[in-house]
Amino acid sequence: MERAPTPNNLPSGFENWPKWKQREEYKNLETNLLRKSLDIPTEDNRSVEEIFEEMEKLNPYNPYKTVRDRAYLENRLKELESEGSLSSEEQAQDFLDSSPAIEENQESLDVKPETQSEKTSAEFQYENQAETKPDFYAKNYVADFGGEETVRYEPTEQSDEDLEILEQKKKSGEAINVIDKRNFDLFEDDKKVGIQNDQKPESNDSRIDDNKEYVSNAEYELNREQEEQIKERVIETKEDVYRWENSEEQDNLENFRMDRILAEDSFKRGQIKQDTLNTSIENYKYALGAAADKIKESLRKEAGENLDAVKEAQLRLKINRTIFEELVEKENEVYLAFLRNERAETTQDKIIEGLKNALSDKVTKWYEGLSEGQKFALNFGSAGLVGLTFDAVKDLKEAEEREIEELKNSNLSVNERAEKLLEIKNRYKKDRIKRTLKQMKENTVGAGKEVLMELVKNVEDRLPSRRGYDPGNINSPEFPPDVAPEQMSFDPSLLTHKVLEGESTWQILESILNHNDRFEKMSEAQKTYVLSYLTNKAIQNPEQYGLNSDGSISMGSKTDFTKMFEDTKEIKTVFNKAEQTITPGSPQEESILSNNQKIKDWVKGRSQEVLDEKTVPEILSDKPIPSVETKPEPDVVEQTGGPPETIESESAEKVDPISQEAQEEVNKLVEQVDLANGNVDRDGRLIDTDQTTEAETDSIEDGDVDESVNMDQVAKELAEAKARLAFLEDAKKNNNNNNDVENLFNSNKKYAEDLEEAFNTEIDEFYGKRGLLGFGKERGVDTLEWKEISRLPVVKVIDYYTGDSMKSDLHPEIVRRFSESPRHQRFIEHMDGLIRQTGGLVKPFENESVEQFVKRLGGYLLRTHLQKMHLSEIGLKETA
Amino acid sequence: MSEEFNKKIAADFGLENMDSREQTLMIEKIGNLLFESVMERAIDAMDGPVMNDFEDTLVEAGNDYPKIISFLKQRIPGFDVIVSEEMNRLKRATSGIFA
Repeated sequence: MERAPTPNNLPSGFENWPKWKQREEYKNLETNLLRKSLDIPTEDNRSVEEIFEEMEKLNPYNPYKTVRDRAYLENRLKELESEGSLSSEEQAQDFLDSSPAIEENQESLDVKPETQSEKTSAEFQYENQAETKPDFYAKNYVADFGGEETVRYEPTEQSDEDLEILEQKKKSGEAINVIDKRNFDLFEDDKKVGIQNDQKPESNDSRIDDNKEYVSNAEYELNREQEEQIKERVIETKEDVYRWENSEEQDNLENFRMDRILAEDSFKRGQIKQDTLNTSIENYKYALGAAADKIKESLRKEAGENLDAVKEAQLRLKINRTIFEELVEKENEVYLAFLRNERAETTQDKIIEGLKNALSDKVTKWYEGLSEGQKFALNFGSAGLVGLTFDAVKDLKEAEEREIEELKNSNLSVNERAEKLLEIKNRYKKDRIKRTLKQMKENTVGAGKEVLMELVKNVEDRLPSRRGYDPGNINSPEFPPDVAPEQMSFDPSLLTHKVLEGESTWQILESILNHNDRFEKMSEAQKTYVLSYLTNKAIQNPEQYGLNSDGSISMGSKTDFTKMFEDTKEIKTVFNKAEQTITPGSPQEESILSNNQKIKDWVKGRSQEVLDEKTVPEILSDKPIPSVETKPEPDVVEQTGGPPETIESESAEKVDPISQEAQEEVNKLVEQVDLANGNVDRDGRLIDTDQTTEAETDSIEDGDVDESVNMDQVAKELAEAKARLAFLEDAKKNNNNNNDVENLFNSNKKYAEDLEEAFNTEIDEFYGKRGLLGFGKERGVDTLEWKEISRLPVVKVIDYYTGDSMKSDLHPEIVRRFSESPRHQRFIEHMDGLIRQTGGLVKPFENESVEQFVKRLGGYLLRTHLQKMHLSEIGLKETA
Repeated sequence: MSEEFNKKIAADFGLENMDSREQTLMIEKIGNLLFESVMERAIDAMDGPVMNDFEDTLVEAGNDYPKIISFLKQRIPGFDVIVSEEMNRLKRATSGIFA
């Protein structure tokens, strides 16, 4: 902590330093600010704000912008006020220890007095510094007394050559700045041009006696390290004073960063108190802000003035990237080096240490092998766990405190109050956890969610039974414990969709689900089952998903199935049921396939008739489609090795005691959350925990599935058929127009195979590798490049090609690869050409992948080709 | 990444004033730093058998990253706290410094 002499006991010479005056003024302001802030009388009549403004004029990085902790303010005031009791020499020493270096336009003092009596006390102090702290010595001396700033000093042994140079200097009367036994080589542009060696004056101080060893071995080692640092430090020329690399701010940051890292480590070991750690962190933040500002200042100066908007934007980009590289990445670099160093010091077994380092490297390689999306999910799934869930928990804590306060003031007996207190604490702990977990689900979407859900699940699994307690009414559908956790990933961009002509809810849902590996592997009947369930759900709650109030959709409207796929448990339950009950050859499968066939047959034969809610029951009247038995029953928990257990409705009367183990888990999690809560800045980032969301979740979790099981059978069939209506419209249209051609396709058993082969060949054209003599040959569809592009949304890929590539929604890394890969470029051009060939008839759906679209596009072109051939054959026959 | 989620992360790491493309890039970079430090600390917390198991899991998992997270969550005591501390450290290192 900085300490300085007071005006009354300044050593001689100090009072003339402009920097000192400024510092002293700042200290006085600081003292007055602190006294006022702490309601301690002071002679300063200005307001806190006015004093603060004055301080900011002297120091734009005023740390009190961020410090609000009363204990810190009190400690700091004590420090400031205790400074007056130090001797002037001690204060000067402290000042020198903490003195920032650079002061421009300082009077040059090239010629130093040769005797102590002619020197200022400050210089005398510098001499002492030089004995044990050569880095400070060299840096501060030049900074504060001026001198040639283009030189740097490197301590060295005196050689004959050096002595010769010194002799020459003495003879020529050349001034020598540094008063020390040590010699400093002079460098200009890395070329040694001489040495400086001022003879230290005679002194009574034994520490500076020429013939004494006045540094211990430890100090010597320290000095050697400092000397090494000096070698790397180049004192700036005035032209470079705005560069940040070797600035005072950068030096300060490095020091405070290391202090902070050490303080954090000491705090974890219980060696220092929270206040000390906080001070260290505040210092670091202050230095970080100053270093960042120095970078901004440097780059702005470099860029010049009067920038236009484009150049200004470019400059900001450059500033931010520089700040990130210089400050944030450096932070991690130093921190990781510290961790590894700690590992080396604390791991007694060197083999274990080596293994850990090797494992670190292995993990890094593994990580580098992940896609960008996977990396993102991995990182922000984890980070979301602690970063996005605090405010609701904080609210609950306040509510808990209020309730406890009321309890204290109640007229209950001691025993009753004790019992009630325990109940309140348990209730809120569990409530906090549940809200935390729920928020994790709500606030984390996309790829990150799946990781998060995995993390969340681990905690959920260890919570007490749901039946035991119900503060938040969280009734998640349970899963059979024997079902392995399934990651349900749906790209959020797929969940919203602008409806195109001819599309149906069924189709849109199918295109979303087609991106899920598990769904893709399902049989037709299983898929039908899942789609029926979800389509029904959509139609029953149309407003939640952007459907019209009657469950239909309109071209140009926007559907949003985010809420539907938000509850991955429900989706998983539906998947599980589909796979478990609609097995190959099962009655359920037969039933579904039969119904599908009936509708298809009906459509084929009735091109002009309307398929609607009235006709569908007639079509299906002899055998109902998906029966009640096949509906998912997420309210039934299948216990391993035992009969299914129905979850009973929860009530206060059925509260079970919380198990010790579960309670420990609760406590642990709450502690973690509370810990994190204390460290996170939440200004302006409150997470809304409104009841609507909770109600919705409860509705999804509790009500919908049960209701669907009990729904009237006919209503279900109607709703389901209604969904199919739109789905089959395309088939109906095709039936109208191309019935003969359709039959021709159906009769052609090789059609699907031909289409697949045509597709593979097409991809080979662009991505295939021929290899040499057959070795190294790789089909296009198997290449990484194809895999990279095949699953991307085709709309975005085409947008990238046809629009401003830099404005496309594609991931920047993908854009970069596109721009660098001629194969991708050629393929996208080709795809664009094929679309033109269809005369614009085949357009990509918003959620369609490149692969799906190319297959559909190819199918259309092949079908058109066959149709022409067929018509040609007919024409030939007629002619004949 | 949803807009809302993006905003939350950007706010937490002091990236609000950047355009969305720059934000995305920065968030990814921060993610990489986060992963590095979390893993370094997680490995420090492992004993011999856990290290062996982790190495096996790493090989088996391929790019099935949830397996890795699941392993760490189950086998590293206080893994959540490590993540929390590291994320807060990075938030501190990035807050209020960008243009």
